[in-house]
Amino acid sequence: MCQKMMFVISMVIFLWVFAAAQTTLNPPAGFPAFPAQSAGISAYVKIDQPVRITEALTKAFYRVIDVSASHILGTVQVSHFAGNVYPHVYIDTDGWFVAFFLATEPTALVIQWLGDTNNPSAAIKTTLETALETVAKVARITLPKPSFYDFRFPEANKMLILLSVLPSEGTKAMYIKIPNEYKLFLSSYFFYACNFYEALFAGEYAATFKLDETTITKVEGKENLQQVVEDLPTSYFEPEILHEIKVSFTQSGDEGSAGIAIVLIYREP
Amino acid sequence: MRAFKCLIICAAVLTMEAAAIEIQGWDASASLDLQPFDVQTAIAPLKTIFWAKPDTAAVIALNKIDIKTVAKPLKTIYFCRYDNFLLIDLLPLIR
Repeated sequence: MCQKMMFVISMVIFLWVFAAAQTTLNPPAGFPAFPAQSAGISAYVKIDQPVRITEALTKAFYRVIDVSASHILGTVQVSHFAGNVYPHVYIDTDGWFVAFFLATEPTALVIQWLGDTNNPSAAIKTTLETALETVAKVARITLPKPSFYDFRFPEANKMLILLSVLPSEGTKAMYIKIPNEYKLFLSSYFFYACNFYEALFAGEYAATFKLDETTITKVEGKENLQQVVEDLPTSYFEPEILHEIKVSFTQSGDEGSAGIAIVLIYREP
Repeated sequence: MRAFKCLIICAAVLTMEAAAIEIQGWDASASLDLQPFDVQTAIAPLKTIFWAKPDTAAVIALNKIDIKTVAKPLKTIYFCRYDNFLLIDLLPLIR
């Protein structure tokens, strides 16, 4: 019995030492549960009923990062035809549901491409909304439509999402002009192109995204999909100038598509 | 007074016209309001056994422990390994 007890104690000490050696310690009780300093673009809902943090709730998460009796924080996988994204989701016992991307992640990750590679939809939905729907389903709670906020830019009061698709070969030009009175804090884009087809005879493709004749990015390939998601310097969108955003897509087969989405975070007077 | 009213209306109209981003040719657009929020919830210690993410190494280690023999002063084991996270409060397990 004494030997068994010694074994248990040594195992516990081992675990403790191992944990201390490998990771940073968790904040002690009483610290704010929501990591506001790390958050960027966020979608949130506050419901008027308490939420129980249960083991079952972890099933909604791709990875659980932190958990206490009052909150759970992790990432949720959101899939669309242009790839998977992993927004963070925070839930607490007070009824807060927050889906967010880290301040360091490109904001255009909010774009959820709908439809499929051969029939892309021009509808707009955000991956943050989908992440909230995913956890709400597991929690068996119906969430209202979320509100949005960007923790990096407290002064910003608007987010504009623009989206265009090229379901077949061609060139498309879109325009945007931002008034001088507006203060632009961030511009970000999500560009994809593909000629994905299960059969082996899929053709090659090439797609280009230009802004005012400056090539921002070009992707090309065969039998696959490529995407570029990144923030753009706001200086590209000089105010009071009509900027041209041009997308070109060429393909040697019939399959595939290309798409561009721009996200702007700004202050509207 | 009338001229003043006209001036106000003209100013309002001009302001309204100035307050719009001009877009052309896009398949879809969505303008969303950004509204601040403040989560006040504080971290509270975990009270019950909670497997946030099963970790093979932890599972193997813990399986070796006869949980019934753990002394009462031992409370929560915080076990963190790489990105996985596991919190276990032993007290509820002591029969």
